[in-house]
Amino acid sequence: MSEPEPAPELARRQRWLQAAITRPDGPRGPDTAGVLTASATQSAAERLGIYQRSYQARLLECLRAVFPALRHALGEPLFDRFAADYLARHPPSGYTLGRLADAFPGYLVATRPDADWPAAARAPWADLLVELATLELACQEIYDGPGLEGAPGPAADEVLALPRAALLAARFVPALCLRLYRFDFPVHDYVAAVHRGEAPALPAPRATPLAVSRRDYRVRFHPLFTDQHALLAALDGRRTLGEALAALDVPEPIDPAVLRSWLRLWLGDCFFADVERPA
Amino acid sequence: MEHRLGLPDLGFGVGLRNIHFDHILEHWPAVDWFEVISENFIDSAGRPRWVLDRIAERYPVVMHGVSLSIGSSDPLDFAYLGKLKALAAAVRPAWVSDHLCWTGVLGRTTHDLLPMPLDEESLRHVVGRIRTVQDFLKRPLVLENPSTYVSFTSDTLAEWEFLRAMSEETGCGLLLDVNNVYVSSVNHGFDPRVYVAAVPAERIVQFHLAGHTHCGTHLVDTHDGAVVDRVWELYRLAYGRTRGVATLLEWDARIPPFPVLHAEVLKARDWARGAAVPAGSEAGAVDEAAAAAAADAPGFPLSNPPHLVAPELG
Repeated sequence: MSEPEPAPELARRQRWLQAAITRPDGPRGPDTAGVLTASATQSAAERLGIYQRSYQARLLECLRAVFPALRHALGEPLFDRFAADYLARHPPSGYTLGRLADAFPGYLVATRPDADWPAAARAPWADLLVELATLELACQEIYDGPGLEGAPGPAADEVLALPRAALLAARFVPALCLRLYRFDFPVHDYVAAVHRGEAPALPAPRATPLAVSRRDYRVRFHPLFTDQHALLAALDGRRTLGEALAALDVPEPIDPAVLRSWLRLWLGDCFFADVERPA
Repeated sequence: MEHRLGLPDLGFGVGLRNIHFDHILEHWPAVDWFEVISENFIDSAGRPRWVLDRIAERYPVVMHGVSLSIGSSDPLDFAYLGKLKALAAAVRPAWVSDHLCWTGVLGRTTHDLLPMPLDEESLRHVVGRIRTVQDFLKRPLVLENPSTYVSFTSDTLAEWEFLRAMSEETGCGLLLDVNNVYVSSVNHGFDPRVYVAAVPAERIVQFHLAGHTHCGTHLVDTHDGAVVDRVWELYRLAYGRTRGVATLLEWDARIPPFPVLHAEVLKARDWARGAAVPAGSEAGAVDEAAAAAAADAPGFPLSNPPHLVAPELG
């Protein structure tokens, strides 16, 4: 489908105005009065300033909305400084504000002051910030992404009624809304507290294997044991349950009764889109 | 009742905002129709889209976008247009609207509704793109006048002249935002009644109403409060010219509980029926109160507040 040729003067004015609005070193001074009119109460530069401040404020408000817990942890002034630097490095390019924050956790990783230090020497507080950003972005993505509400996954009773051999030969296909994390802080408790309107203190480090999923259109946190995390990570839709169990690096085999209780729990929490059984 | 472009007068509606989801699903309020922000739903596979589907089963819905960028000198984004068309096919809105503006160039976006240079070259450009979009969507486009804070020294057309030529040449509809007319009239120093009288009434298919913030030297379209009396007066003038088209109240910041929002839009119905100015709220009084409130309000008065849907945790 064709569209008209761009209009050269229109393109020139739009490029000028966008640069003036978005770049701190964009065109200013005499240029402004040549392109934009003054009003009875404001100079052309003052009127341009309305758009300049709106640009920053609008995008900043979006990042604040995506990362309320990180904002609480950092305090508003410091969060805003991070956010402004992020926006300067990652200016928006898509039609939706829903993707504005996509690169924020990666930005925090890339700009942490101890990025080049050995892992053991790095500052734990930087890990906490990255983990908070990672979890909050995941909440946003899971909330509005595909879930199982329209097509419920396999029923636990039906799956667990399979003979043991058939169960071990089944492939558990993870739902798209399931994410697994191994955090060094209990960031899920912190995020949940902020969402409840509380003002939690910064958490102390604690190894936190975590599943994040969605059921009934709400994002849910599921703290895991290390063995549970390892098994869920191994259940990638390609391995059978038996192969996943064999691949686990755990000190003792998982008791069959315990395994069945875990599977019942996870099937009920919509962790799996399907359980493929051998023909 | 069939009106302009074969589109119906939907009555008096409100913008759908996520903080009201639970109230609406529980009470199914007696609102005539809902307007939804298209970009909040075209990629959604979560609760926002589920809620929209439930609402579209019971109420007329209009899709109102903020990212079409019809005036940009960048190429049209057909991937975006494809998603818009797919959502429209699923939701079956009464119409699809966006703004006479541009949001970015050179592959960037500002997520703001930036003002068009108002001259013949811009008009030719916009007319061509509207035709392309209408061909693609297989439906008339409805475009809204944005609030603006600058104008270009090169402008040769008044905004109402641009809107008239644009709509007559393309057959597109107009969404007349009466608050935006008022905001721009103060910011640029024109008579808003001249604007309303000059816009082609026969092409107006919808009105927007909203609150704004007085910043001393200018007004900002903040959508964060009640409609002021001067805008109500202007609305009655515009409504009379059209003999009645769909009217929607926007409230996007400091959003009140749904019943407050609903009560505000019901004022529009009363005004449309010729109700007198309420005692003690003569024209201008609310503006002064708004200016005083703005002086005390924290933060920067943001035009066209963004519409992000916050996740719900279980």
